[in-house]
Amino acid sequence: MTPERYQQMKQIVMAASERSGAARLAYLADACGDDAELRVQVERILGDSAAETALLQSPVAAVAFDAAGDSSMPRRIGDYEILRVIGGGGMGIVYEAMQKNPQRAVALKVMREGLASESARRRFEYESAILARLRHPGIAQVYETGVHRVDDREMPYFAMEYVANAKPITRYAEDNHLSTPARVELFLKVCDAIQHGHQHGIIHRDLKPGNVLVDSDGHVKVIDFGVARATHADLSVTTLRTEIGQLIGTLQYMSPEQVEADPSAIDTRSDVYALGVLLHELMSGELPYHVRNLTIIEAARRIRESQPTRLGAHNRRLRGDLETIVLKALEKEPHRRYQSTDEFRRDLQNYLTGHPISARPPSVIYQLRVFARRNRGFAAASLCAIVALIAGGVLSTVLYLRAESARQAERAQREIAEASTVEAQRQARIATAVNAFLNDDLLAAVSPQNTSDPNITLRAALDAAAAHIDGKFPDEPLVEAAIRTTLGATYTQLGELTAALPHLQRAVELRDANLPPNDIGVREAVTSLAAVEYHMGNYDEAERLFRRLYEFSRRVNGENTMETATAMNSLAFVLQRAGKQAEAIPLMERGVEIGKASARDDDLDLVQMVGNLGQLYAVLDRYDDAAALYKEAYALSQKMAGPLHPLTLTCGNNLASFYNLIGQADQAIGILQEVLKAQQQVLGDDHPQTLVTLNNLGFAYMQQGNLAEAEPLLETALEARTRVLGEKHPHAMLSMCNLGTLRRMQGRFDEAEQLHRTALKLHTEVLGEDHPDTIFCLRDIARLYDDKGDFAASEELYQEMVKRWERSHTEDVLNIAGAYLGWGQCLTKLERFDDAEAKLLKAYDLFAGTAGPDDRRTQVAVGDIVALYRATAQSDKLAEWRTKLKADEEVSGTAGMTTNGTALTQAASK
Amino acid sequence: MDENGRQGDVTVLLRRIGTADSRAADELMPLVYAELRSLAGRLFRSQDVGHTLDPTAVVHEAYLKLVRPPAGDADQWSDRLHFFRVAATAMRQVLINHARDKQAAKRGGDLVRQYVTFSELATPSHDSMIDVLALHDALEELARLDARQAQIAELRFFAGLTVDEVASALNVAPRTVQLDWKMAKHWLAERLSDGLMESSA
Repeated sequence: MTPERYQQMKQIVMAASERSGAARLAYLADACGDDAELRVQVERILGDSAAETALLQSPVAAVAFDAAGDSSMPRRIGDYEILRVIGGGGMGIVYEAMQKNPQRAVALKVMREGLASESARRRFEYESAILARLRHPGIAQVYETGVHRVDDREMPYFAMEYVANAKPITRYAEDNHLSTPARVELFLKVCDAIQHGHQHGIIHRDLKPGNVLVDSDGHVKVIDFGVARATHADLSVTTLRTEIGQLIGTLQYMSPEQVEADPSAIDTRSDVYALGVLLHELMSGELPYHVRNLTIIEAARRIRESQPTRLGAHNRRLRGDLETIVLKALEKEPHRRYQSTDEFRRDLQNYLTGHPISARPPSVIYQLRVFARRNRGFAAASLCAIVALIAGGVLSTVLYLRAESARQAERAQREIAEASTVEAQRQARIATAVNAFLNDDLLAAVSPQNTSDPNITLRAALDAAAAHIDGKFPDEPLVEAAIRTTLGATYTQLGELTAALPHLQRAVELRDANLPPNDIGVREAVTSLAAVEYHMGNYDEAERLFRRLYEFSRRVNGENTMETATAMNSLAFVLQRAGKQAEAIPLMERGVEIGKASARDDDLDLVQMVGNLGQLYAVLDRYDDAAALYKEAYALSQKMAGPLHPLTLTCGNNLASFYNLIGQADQAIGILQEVLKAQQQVLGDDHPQTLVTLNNLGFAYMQQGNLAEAEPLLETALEARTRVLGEKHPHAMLSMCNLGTLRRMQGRFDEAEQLHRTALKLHTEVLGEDHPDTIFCLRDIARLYDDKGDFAASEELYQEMVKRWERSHTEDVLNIAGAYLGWGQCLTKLERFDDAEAKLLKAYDLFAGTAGPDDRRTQVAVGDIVALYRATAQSDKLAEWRTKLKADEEVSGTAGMTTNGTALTQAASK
Repeated sequence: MDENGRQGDVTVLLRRIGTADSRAADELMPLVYAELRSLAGRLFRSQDVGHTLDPTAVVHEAYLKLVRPPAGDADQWSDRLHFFRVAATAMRQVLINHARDKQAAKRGGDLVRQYVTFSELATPSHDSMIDVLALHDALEELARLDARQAQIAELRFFAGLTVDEVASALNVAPRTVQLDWKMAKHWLAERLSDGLMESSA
């Protein structure tokens, strides 16, 4: 569809919506003429129900994408006619469907279309193969699995027993007013079903009322083995990814070991625990822990540490044996629970038949254990709090570390699916060992038994854990490498690069020695280390590592790929930082070339690469090349990401800043106008980012001498920034300075002075006397006095500026140099030539020493010195200094020139 | 080292270097983006593929965290709209980048798509999982047809603004927003279901 066509349609829709009934029909007939398609489209848009319009008013309108929803439901899959959607999970959608032969209703679980990748499909088949082994009246039977082909895509599905009119077990019991013994009887059937699964090596792992259904005939059906994993040795690794997600969803039914997301600790006894929760709920209608409305961390803590509510607390009649049985199932430590569902079931039967039960009420030791656990939890919690402070994040590091082991486990899982059994087992062993290390060495380090400091920092905990590594894994180098990688990553996250370094170095050594050179593990380790070396400024070492990554990518991905191009770009950047421009340039150029040839249409990395090359040219003073590249990055981003994309706007602003920097205000203005227009459209007139551009555009005009254009822009920028950001916001204060400068250039000195004085006052209040921006305010006022010819007044200010710069220990020597230069110029005007000479020479030394003898600012100083010697007729010195003047630039030492030069630097640095 | 995995390091490094030239860049966008990314990243990390994520909730959480609006302060109203305008774009970018990262992380051309449930797009029958990249493409296309409609859709989807809020934010009449939104939604629905039909026909 063309924009024109769309706009035509829009006009008709808008106009038609103003009319109703016959008038609307008449209008449509007229407006659409014999364009039937247009008419249909317009009517469809208009025809959306009135109910929907009402819904639109509500904040989160649940307006349905009906069309998309319906058409995404297939009518038929394999032998099955699809009737309706009955559920959906992460893995797939569950439909109610009708099978032809035999004729029966089934629940059809179909993989989500987009997930039909090779590995996902394998996982699906694997899952259904396990389920196919289960035949039990209490478990929803899997009838068939298969793959539904659509074009070249495969949509695996499995058909399972459809449980009609089923209710969650708890609701069934309530609705039928079942007695306590009847509820226990019903629950025994659930135990039977779960026991059957356990006998086949399957843990359900997601037991909750919604997955334990009872049909209208009172038959129990356990459903959704979607997260079931076998317990057989070759399938021992479970994916933690699932558990962490479930922390949010089904926390209430999770055992402490599941809450801790420890895959190695989850076994059939975890199901025993969940059954205990289920029984508790079935009996009392309440959950043993109240975790609703708590944060995940709080909830997890409560499950790990607090004692469950006793059944008797809900209902006195449930005291006694039943209460004891439930408590035993809910023990924190798996080994204190019933060791099997069968044992659990037998004790319940004992209860029903009045026999002595095996479970015993909690002992004193039990109480002590719970106490100890609480304390451990306290330490862990204070650790969380500290981490939250350090990292400024919400996620606790405990969860972070668990996520880290989750990744290990996940990777092992993936390896199992893709590699040989030996390899899989190796990965599994690594994952388990890393996990054990994190739990035993790192988290245990903050337990009260091991430290007397309740405020132990994460750094201290990491250090303590790190001390345990040496010599601990003499025969397991890859385990050690994985642990060190984790530790290194955690240190890096905390900004503790020095501490991270040895671990990452050792991880690289270990993986180099024990993995094939192209293994992804090697690359991971090298990448982490390279980043740390770079940030620490160890450019030689970083260079070596980035070179490895580049070689690695060439081998694995091939020379002419985006991956390799990115690697080249990184390497080149490091080379440049290391001062090896000669090597950096061709490499980065080649990278950009490859990137252009191989990037996808929307690969924004390419924009980044082109921008980096531009920056490299800029650093090397190749301004024309730099401008071309900045321009290209801007154009690329416009094309790839669209003109309104933030990256595009940033590229545009960068390009404009660059033009400003090299004094090409005309060019800068063109770009800024474009960017401003886009920002006003996307972000609105008052958006801070829009105002930055507005200010820069005004500044560019001012720099160009076009004061008439600059005036309204700078006025608006100041007004809007003061209103939107407040007068003490740095941007608002800068705008005030800029407007003051404009007034000075317009010769409106009183207004200028008032603005600059106010700006100085605000800056001093907000930033303090010696802040660079405050000192710039002094300079603004000094220039004003210069322009007014009041050099005695400005001389004092320059003196003050030099004092403050030196006092503030600024790292930017050019600022001090600038102040000396202004001072010297001022003294020259006052005809205090000896003083002037000293200040100007000082300025020259500083400029030349920092920016080089040919720098524009250095040349301004030389010009001033030459002028001074000419004025004082010191011909020897005059001749000497004239030689320092670049031939092509007859720079005359005027204050105006300097003003522009330094003002520009200020604007650019903001 | 978190959601990107370690292969993200180089990219992160480059981005940091590349954007060091932030002289003229505004502080808000990266700030918002980072916050959204970190909040969303937490959810991404903690959930399975094909998970649901409510962008609106994330944006509002970021708003509360970054802006901490004083209760009942009427002056904050325009700030709030500014924030959400930026946040909608940033949120969209977070989701797209995440989806692309996922795609890029997969070698061998596996098609991995990121699905997100927008409360806006929920259907009564089941949660409607919208492919982020497909939605992004559709919005880009819509932007070419009618920039304002695309912007409205973005504000609705990614920042959860109401029609009235969108109207204030864009400084147009609520009635106009309503019609634009209606049309945009219709077009997006067609566009997205076209995609489905094309690929499954």
